[in-house]
Amino acid sequence: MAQRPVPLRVTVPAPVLPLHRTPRPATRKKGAAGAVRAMFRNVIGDQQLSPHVSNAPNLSALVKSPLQFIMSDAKARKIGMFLLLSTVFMVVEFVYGFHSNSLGLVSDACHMLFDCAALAIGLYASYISKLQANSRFNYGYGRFEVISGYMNAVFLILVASLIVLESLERILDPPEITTESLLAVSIMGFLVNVVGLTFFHEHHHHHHSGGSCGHSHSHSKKDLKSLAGITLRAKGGDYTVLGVEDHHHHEHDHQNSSAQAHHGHVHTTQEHGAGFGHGHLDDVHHGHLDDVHHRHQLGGIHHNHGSPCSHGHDHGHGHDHEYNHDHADHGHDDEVEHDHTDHNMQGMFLHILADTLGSIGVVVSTLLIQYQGWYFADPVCSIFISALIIASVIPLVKGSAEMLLQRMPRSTESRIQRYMKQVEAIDGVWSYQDLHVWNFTNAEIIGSLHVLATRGADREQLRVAVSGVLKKAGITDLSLQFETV
Amino acid sequence: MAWKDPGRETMEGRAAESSSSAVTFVSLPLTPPGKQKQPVVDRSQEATSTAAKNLEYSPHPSLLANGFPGGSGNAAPSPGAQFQFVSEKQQSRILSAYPASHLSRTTPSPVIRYSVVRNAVPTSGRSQSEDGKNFRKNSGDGFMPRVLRPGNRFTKRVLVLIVLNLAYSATELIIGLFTRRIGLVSDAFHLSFGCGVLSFSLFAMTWADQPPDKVYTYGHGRLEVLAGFTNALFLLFLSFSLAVEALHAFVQDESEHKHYLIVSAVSNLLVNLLGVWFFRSYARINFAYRKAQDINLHSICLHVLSDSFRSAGVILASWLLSLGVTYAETLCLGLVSITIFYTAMPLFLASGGVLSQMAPSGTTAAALDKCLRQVRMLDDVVQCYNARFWDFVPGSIVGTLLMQVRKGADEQSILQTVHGIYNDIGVKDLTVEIETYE
Repeated sequence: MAQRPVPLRVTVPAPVLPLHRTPRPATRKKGAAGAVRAMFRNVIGDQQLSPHVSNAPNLSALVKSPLQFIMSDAKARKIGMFLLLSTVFMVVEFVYGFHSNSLGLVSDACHMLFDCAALAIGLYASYISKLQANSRFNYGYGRFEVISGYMNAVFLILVASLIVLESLERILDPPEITTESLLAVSIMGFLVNVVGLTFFHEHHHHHHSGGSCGHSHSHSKKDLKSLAGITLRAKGGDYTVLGVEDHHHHEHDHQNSSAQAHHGHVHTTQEHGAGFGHGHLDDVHHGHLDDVHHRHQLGGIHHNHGSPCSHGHDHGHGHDHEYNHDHADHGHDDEVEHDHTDHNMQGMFLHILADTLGSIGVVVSTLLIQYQGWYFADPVCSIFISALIIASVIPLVKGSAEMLLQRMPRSTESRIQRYMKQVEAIDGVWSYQDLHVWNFTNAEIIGSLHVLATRGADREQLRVAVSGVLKKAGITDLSLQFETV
Repeated sequence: MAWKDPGRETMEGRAAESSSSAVTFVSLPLTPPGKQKQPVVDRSQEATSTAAKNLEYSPHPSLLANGFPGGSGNAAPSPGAQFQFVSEKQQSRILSAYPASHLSRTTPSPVIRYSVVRNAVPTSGRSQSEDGKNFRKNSGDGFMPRVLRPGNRFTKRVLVLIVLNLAYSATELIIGLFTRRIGLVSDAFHLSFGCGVLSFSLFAMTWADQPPDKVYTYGHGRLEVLAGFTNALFLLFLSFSLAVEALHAFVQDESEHKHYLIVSAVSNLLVNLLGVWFFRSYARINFAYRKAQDINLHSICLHVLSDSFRSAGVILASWLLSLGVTYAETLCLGLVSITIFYTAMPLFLASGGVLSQMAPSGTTAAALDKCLRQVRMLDDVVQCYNARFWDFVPGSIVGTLLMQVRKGADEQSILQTVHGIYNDIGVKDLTVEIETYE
């Protein structure tokens, strides 16, 4: 199996670009799960595309690497297949609509066009967010998925409000609707969208059956609920089931919290996707033991992976984290109350859900019109469904907007006081200033802090202690500035 | 401010220049080549002048603002006090009549304080008024008073635009309902559709000045960037839907273009041209964003501009139709859609870049590189890496830096020097991690 040589990042022209990223030890992703997957991971994961892309955009690389990524990742592969299916269906609809000169079909095809565009954007965003950090994006491209989630949410809100406005017009002046071909087409569209929904939902099922996690999941019952149930819960804003994990576990005591930090280290060196069952048990176990007995030593272990590496391995962390975040979540949420909604996935899912609801609405209203002659059924159904869509999108807007505004993560917010008191209580810390904590993506929490240390305090030990406490608080990427008082 | 006075007494023994107020600074033993202390004096003067004005905090004497621009409200997006985390231990030290031993630091190594201590109460979520000073003039007010107060003139202009739009749509709606002309009703709805996004921008303009609090630790300025981004998204959506409409008109043989809508199109055009006039200083496609409100106002300007394009396109299309040009509607709407897409793209990319924590580009990037080179050339600095910078808001850069310093070097002075170097180009929040190189 011929692997492409991995370009050394150290040899990027140093005098021109600041070496803002330390040479990260190349992650050796040897593991189980097949040589093919490892090969793809090596191609995508270790190869930094940006030296090529930023200097001279090589068009074939620009097209090939997203495709390679899509093929390599399981979830992305499914979404790609669904995108293909949607596109084919849309083209068929367009052709048929033009041929039979039916405006309804053409407008439905345009609606599907929006859908496919949203899916394509979401897929591309999930590819981009895996890229390595470079001189233009010092923290990496992870924010793109939050932005794409926000974009999807805004577009959904706009579309839904447009539909509401149009329905109001139609109530006042109900036009004649020919319903023959529309019924068949909308039923087919509904089936296509249901397939997409199962693609998004299957990931949740699949991992959950394999997961061996200690704590109880409240949503295990919900897996068996029907689509209608999902819809109702979507309206209520509870996102536990909708293909995307939104964990708000009650907090276990913070003895366990160090395992989360430990996780971060393990990720860079371990094949995460395949052996996650084993990996998790080991990590959680490790974390428990370590933290209970050796608080400072744990900090020592952390120190080996201290600042240079912690910045470096973030992206490995995020890399593995995004699609397998459900796996990682279980280990994490044992300790730390995390909000792990992947906004990108949530946005795409809501888009497909909105389409499904639209198809249901069209079917229902068509039946009502055909068999009951209630011509106002069409706008009323549309209004109802648009209201549902808007209600289900609002949590996504709030979540992604909060992340974009650099708000302190909600999971950290409630506990930050306690952890700050712990930091103060450390020997040698006089006080602290300028604490900033925010979500970079759903998986990474970045923080910065200025610590005023008393003179004579051992700075390394202080750093280890403070970063240990803050990593327990959930901060994955910490910058500490020490000043001596 | 009562507790300024104890500070002044204890400051006597220090070998430091002091200005007339309690703001003092310490001279640096390690001055980077070519740097004068002069600008620092000016900034402290500025700080005192703002202290004379409505300043809500007073800098703790030992924790002084060494010319740190963020302490005094200059062009930073939030001119008020930055409400940041300060430990209770620290706070109690300041508020109480502390013994001088805490502060009698007569060692030669300078004390670095780049942030100004604010009387933050980290534990409680109560507003700042419990400190007995009002942190913000407007903090307790609701949304409407802040909008109507004679403050930012752009706020008033946006309000005028929104009110005009809504008023026009309401009259059109009523007329349409009475005369049973659905075209008027739908037109009324479509015209007022953009008002939602404009009101979000308005909200962002009024909310962005709020001081930082416990959860928005950098402040609320980024809301303006988000509002600008949302406006850009709306414009892209508008261009897509106009393209879809053009396609509709292409598919349909007869155009259902109602001619009594010309009046409403003309008046919409006039209202939007008034809006463009209001924001004429932002009427460019590629705009160099210097402050937070630049993005927001630029997006509002592009919004009204695009709306006027659309109305102009509708008028043009109906005129061409009356001339007998077939597919006039398709052509005009398609042209307008492409134009709106083209004007919205730079705004979308720029605001998206800020939101995704892209490193500042252009001249700022060159300045950052220069600062990095300067830092690397300092004595005792072995290596300097992991320099990561991002715009919180255009013009306000946040960054972290990791340095390796030779063992035994004076880290505090190096820290101060580095902060000084980066301060001069506008990096408001810098966190420098120093490691000892063995």
